[in-house]
Amino acid sequence: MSSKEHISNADESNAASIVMCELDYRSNPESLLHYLASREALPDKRLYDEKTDAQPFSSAEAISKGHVYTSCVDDERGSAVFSIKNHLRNPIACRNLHKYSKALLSSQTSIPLGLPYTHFDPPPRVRLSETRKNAWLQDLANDKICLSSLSKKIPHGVWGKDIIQLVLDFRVPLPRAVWFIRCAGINEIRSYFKKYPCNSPKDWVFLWTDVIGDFLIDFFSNNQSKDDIQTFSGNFVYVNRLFGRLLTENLIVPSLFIAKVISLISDLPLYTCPSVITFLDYFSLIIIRDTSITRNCVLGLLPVLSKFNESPSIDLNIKRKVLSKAAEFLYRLASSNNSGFYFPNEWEDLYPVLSIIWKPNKTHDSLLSIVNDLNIRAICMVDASTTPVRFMQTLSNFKPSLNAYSFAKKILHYSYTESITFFLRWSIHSKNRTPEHRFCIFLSVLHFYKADHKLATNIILNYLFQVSSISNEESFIIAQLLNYLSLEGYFMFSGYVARLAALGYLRESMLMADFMDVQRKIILHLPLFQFSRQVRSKLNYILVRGSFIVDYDQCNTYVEQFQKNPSSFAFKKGESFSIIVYTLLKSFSICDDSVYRIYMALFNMYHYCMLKEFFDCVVYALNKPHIRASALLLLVKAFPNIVMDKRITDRIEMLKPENVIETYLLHEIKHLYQLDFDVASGSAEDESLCKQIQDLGESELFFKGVFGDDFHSFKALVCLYEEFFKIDDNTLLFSLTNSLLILKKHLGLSKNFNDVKCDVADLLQYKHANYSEFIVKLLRLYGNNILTVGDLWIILNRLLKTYEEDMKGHIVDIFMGAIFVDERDSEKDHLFYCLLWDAKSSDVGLEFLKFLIQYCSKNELTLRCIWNILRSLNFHEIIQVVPEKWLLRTIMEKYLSFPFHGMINESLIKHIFELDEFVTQLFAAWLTTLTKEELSDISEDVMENILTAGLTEKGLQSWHVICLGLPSTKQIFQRILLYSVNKDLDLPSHFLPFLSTITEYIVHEGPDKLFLEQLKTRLRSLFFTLKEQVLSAEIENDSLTSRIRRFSNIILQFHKYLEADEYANFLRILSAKKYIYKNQSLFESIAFVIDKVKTQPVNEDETFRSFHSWTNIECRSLSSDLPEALKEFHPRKTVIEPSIW
Amino acid sequence: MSGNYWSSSQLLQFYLPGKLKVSDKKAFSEESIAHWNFIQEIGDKIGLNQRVLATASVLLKRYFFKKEQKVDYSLEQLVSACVYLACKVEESPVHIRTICNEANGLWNLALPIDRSLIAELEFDIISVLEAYLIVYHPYPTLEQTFKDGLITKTQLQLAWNIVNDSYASNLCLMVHPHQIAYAALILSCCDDENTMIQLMDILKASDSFKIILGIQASLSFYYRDEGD
Repeated sequence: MSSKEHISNADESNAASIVMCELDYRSNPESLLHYLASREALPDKRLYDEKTDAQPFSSAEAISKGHVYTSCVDDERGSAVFSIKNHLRNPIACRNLHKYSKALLSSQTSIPLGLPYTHFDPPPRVRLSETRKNAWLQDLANDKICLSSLSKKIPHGVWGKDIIQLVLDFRVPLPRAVWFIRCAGINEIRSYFKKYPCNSPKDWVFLWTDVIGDFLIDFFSNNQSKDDIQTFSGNFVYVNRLFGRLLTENLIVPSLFIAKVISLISDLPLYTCPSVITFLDYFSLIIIRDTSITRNCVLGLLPVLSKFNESPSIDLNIKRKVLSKAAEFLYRLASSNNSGFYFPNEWEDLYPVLSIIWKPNKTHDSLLSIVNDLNIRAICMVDASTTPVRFMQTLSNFKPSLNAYSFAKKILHYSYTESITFFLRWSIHSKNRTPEHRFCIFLSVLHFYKADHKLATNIILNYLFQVSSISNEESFIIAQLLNYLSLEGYFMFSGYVARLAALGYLRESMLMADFMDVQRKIILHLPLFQFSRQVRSKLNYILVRGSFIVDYDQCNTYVEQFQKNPSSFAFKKGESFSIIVYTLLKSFSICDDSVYRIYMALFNMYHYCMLKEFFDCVVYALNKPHIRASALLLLVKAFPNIVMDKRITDRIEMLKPENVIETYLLHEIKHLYQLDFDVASGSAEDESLCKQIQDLGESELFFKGVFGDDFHSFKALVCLYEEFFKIDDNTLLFSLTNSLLILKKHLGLSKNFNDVKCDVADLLQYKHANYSEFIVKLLRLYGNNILTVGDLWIILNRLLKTYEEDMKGHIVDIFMGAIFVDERDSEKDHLFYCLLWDAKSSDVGLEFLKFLIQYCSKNELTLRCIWNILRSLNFHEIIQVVPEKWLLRTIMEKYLSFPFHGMINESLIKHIFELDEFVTQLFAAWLTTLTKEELSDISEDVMENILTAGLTEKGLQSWHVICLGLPSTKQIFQRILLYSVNKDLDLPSHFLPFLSTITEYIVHEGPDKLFLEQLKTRLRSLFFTLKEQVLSAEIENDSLTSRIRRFSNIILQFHKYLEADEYANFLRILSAKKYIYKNQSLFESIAFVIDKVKTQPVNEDETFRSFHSWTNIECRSLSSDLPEALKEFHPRKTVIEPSIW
Repeated sequence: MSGNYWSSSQLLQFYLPGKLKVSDKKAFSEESIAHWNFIQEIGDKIGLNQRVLATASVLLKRYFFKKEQKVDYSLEQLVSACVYLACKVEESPVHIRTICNEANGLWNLALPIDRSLIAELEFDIISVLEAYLIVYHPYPTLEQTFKDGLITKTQLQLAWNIVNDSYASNLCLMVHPHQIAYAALILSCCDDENTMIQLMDILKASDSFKIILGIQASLSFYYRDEGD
């Protein structure tokens, strides 16, 4: 029945229906409901209704009398079904119902009914004078003044940070403040979109967030004078609550807001740090709710805290308080949402800060270890691809400048003992030519695991006893390593001997076994003289019994050399200690009375720290009448700082001087060493003594040089240098160097020493016309460890500065010629290796070589020299030392043999794989010099060959180097990757880990478009094959798991270029397979990849929702009937600690 | 739990206009009337307060509104559990055995309701409602109006009865309780011009659309057999 019919048939019985019809043309509640729903954006005039708050809860009454319902009506269960009809039959009732309903509706109908909603029409703003504006705000702050009256003249032009500041200044009650902000905001939104119709709501929300940021900057930095803590803390609480309120009303986007605050921290002065932390703390609930917000918050806060902690201007007490507050805050974040502390990339930098903050408290500390574990595992997971091959590659370019500790930390994800053993084996057997670095790494590994020395000893010994055969070189390295570790406290030789004894190896029969020869080889290289007598005697016992003994021939050669020319005598680098000991002792015992020889022998002992032998020899010398005087003399003059052995003092006390000199020397010794004995006779005149001493002949100059006039001044040093550069006599030169070394080593002059020697070098180079001689001498000082390579460089630089351009080349040429020529004697050889050693171990060394090569004139001789340098370096070093491509090419083509006529073809590949590791480096360097035209000759076949050749285990290393050398490495690697993916990763297992390096390299360089397209399609097909194989395989299959690992690694690296979500799902499917999730490490790495790869949800919705709640008041139930009762809505209270500010 | 309706769970958790489109839910339906009849039947049998029944009705409605999956229980079982729970909430507890016996006696069910079932259902309801069990009713508003001397006892009684009938509709999920009370007051006082004028001052303060909705829903409930 239509409503019109209804009206025409009106009678009393259905009067009510008529009323309904006349109320509105909507005849039933459903249509009204629909209308109400469509009207969702209606403004709410009752926003400021203060009477509708229902039901006062009279708790006092309820508590005292109990909770009883007393009904006001007689029949509380009755229904109005029958009475209402009667009631409405009354025409007056009907009319009134109609009338008052209409009146009610019309009171609401400032908006025309039935029109679709367009936009909420906010209360307009009017322009008010400053005083009236203030009066208005005063009214706003007054609860008793109705908002409806205020809404008529909302002041115009209050926006930006001012609005918050004004609300704060007048302490407007929060709901009214929010109302005001809302009204102003809606007007702003309108004018904003009128101005910029193309902008999106998001822009406006960002703008508003900036407004808040501006306000906060002002608030924190201006509001905080020390005198006015009370006001500030009041303001602070208000601001906290206001923002809390805006957040609950969804007028601020939480993530943007927190991000803004975080970004502000770094701009704000440090003294505001405590208040910002408290501010964040207040909003911790919001921060905790979202992981990414938490993460941003922590990432932003920690650096500031570290700055705060390091700032010298802040009182210690305050520092402690603030840090503990921050610790609590962060702890709360971490305990409710520890994935917010998951930031593997920044972890290494931020961990120290966090540990400073959290260490003092035990509960915090335990959480720290959990969070640390989480991150470290992730770090390891990122590097899960770093299997040994990759590891070796990295290490081959390893420089000590790299922080060994963090390096080792990154690489280690093996189990404890496994990795220690692995590194031990590696550090012994690696072909890497700088064992010291390997020791250093190994030590870092031990440090990293906080290995206990007993355990370390155990692991090392276990390994030592497993070794069945060993080369000389390796045994030397092992001995060096053991020595190194024992110095660092990780190895005990006594433990070694004890283990040998416990295994029964000290028995006569066992000593002859082959196995013992291995141990003997190692023991032979150990610094036996450093051990306690007991250990040494046992080790000696082992050494003597075997068929393996000291190489006496070698010793004899040394002794002969020493006898012939003690001044230029030197042991081979890395000579075994037993040989050194034997040689020195023998040399000493066959010395005649030449003081110089005795001195040299003793000096060498001293140099090698053989103190026991040293004293033994001194006592021996004191016992022999004919060399007694020499020994005394040396004690007085040459080793004046030695701590005397008891045996020697005893022996000296027993001495009876036989002549004046001896008396004098004893006298001196008595003074020098403060010995308590009487010199038997002697009132000899000093002058005569001196004369006699000076008569000692060949040593005269030496002593004069050593001791000079004033022992403690630098005169001696200067004098020594001058002498050094003046004199040509080889013997004297040698002794002068030694004197310099002694001065440098023992006189604590090292800092001043540097200044002096540079000054002296400066001084000398003017006087010295003969550069070559000067340079040779400089180099000799360098070779004798008196100058470092840095010093050498500085001096050379100074030298060059003072000369004309054309002279420079000449000087450098001389320099090169002095070291790097083909025909080298032992001294030049020594210098050459010293320089190379420095170049490999320090950047300064490398730079020095680069400097030399850059400045020398490129003639036949120097090119030869450069070639000599280059062929001892590895690829990266070569590239660094010779940046000029043409030079590199000239040299390479001059001296390298090219059986393939410089063409890149099959024969090149064949040739390359026959090369050893060192020569490949040169070839790789040569490849980088090729021009584009030459490279374009590379045919597909050759490419294919290069790829397949790399698959053999033998060629892998050379292949890698060659690939690095080719200028279009990226292209090649891309092809390799495509090739591998094409083969479904079904490649030799040693090759697979290498793919990670390749992928990483390609991603680093930025892949090509074409390549990406191909990769995408191929990866997809690869996935399906893999999936098929995984699903059909029932048991764990090594090759399959390693392929999955590589696959997930490729996804991880390329996820930016792929449909990440899709692949994440792919991987998830894979990980559901039982034997995959049973394999923990694999599963973890897949899970890690999934987590990294899947796209993060965007907070678009959030901003949009916030914007919606600005423009659409009714969309939130809270505000639709918002009474002032909501004033205390946010129940959280801030805890203000005035002591902090 | 809050003594203030404006921060109560009823407003924050169950007030429909804030949760979903009102049009998704009809003001009343045969279903809602049936629910209310069931509750009244068992309430009469046990002799419960109106307030308890009203609370039971609201709890049942909230349960249906919140429960996302299919409800596995029969209406009788649910009604019994809701009444049992409402008794507890409104502090007029009834023994679970009584509920079971009365329900079984009343409806003569094929599968009799036993105590464990009621207990299980009670637990389910509490968890579905996330333990938000406090219900605000329109009655206090009526009482307050009466105490303020605005209406007579007869008018109060009629308004009260109208409010009772409102539980047959879904109004309690869509409209604030005091708005239902206002609608009932208008209906009961419309024959008294003076009272109406006084009432209008109060009513203006609230959302009149909601009040009109209440009036219309009530009228269509009373006249549902007529019309077309």
